[in-house]
Amino acid sequence: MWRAYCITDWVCVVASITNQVPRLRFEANGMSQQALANAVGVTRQTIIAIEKNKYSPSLEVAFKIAQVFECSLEQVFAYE
Amino acid sequence: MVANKNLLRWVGASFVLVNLVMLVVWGWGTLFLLGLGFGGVVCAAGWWADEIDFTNEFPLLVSLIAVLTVFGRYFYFVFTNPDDLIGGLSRFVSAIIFMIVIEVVAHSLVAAQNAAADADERDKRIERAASRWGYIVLVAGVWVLIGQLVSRVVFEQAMLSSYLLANLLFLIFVIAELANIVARLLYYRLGLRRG
Repeated sequence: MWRAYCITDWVCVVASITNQVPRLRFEANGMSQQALANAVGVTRQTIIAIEKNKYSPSLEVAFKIAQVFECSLEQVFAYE
Repeated sequence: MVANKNLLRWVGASFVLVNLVMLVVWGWGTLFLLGLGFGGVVCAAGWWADEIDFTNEFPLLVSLIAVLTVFGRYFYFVFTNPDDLIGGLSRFVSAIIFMIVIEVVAHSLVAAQNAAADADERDKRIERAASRWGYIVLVAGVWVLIGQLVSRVVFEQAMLSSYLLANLLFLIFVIAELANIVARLLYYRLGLRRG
C-alpha cells in the first residue's frame, strides 16, 4: 500500500487522507455543501477543499462531519 | 460566494480592454497600470481556475496587484532619483493613501456581496502558514541588508544615505508582504495538508 509523505507544505508524494464526504452527502438525500458547512461550522470553501483532498480538517471538524452523517470517523476518513 | 471562470474571463478581459484604451488615449498612469494588471490577473485566473473564492481570494488578488503596481512605481522613482527626498516623500504619502483606498474599495465590494464570513479553521491555518513565508523573507532581507552595511564598513565603501537605507528597509517589508500574499493565494489554490 502506498504511504503519503509531504516533502513541503505543498508537495505530497501521495495524498495521505482520503474521505467519503461526497458519497455520504449524496446518500444523505443529496445534502448540499453549504448545509454540511453550516452543520459543521466551517465555510463552504473548506468543505470543497476537504472533498478535493486539498485540506485535512482538524480532529474536531472531522468528528463533527462524522456526527452529521451518523457514522464513525473511519467510515468518513481513511489514511492510505 | 464564488465567481466562475466565465465571469472571471469577461470581467478580466473588460478591465484589460477599458484600461488599454485609457492608456492609449490619455497616456501612462498608475490607475491604468493597476487596472491593466488587475484585469490581466483576473483573466488569467479565469483560464487557470474553475472558480475564484470571492471572500478570500478576491481581496488577495487586489492586494497583490495593488502592492506590485503602487509600490513598484514608488520604488522605481526612489531608486532612480535617490536625491529627490521631497518628491520621494510626496510619492510615499500618495502611495499609502492609494493603497488604503484600494483596500477599502475591495473589502467594501466583498461586504456588499454579503460574502464576508468569519474566518474558519482553514483560513486561520492558511494565514499562519503564509505568515511563516512572509517572516522568512523579512528575516532574510534584514540579514542581507545588515550584511551589506557591514561589508561597506569593512571594505571602506561609501555608506548608503539614511533615506535610501530607510527605503531599502521598507522594500524588504513590502517584499515580505508580497510573499505572504502569494503564499496565501497558493495555499488557497493548491491546498494545505499540513501546518
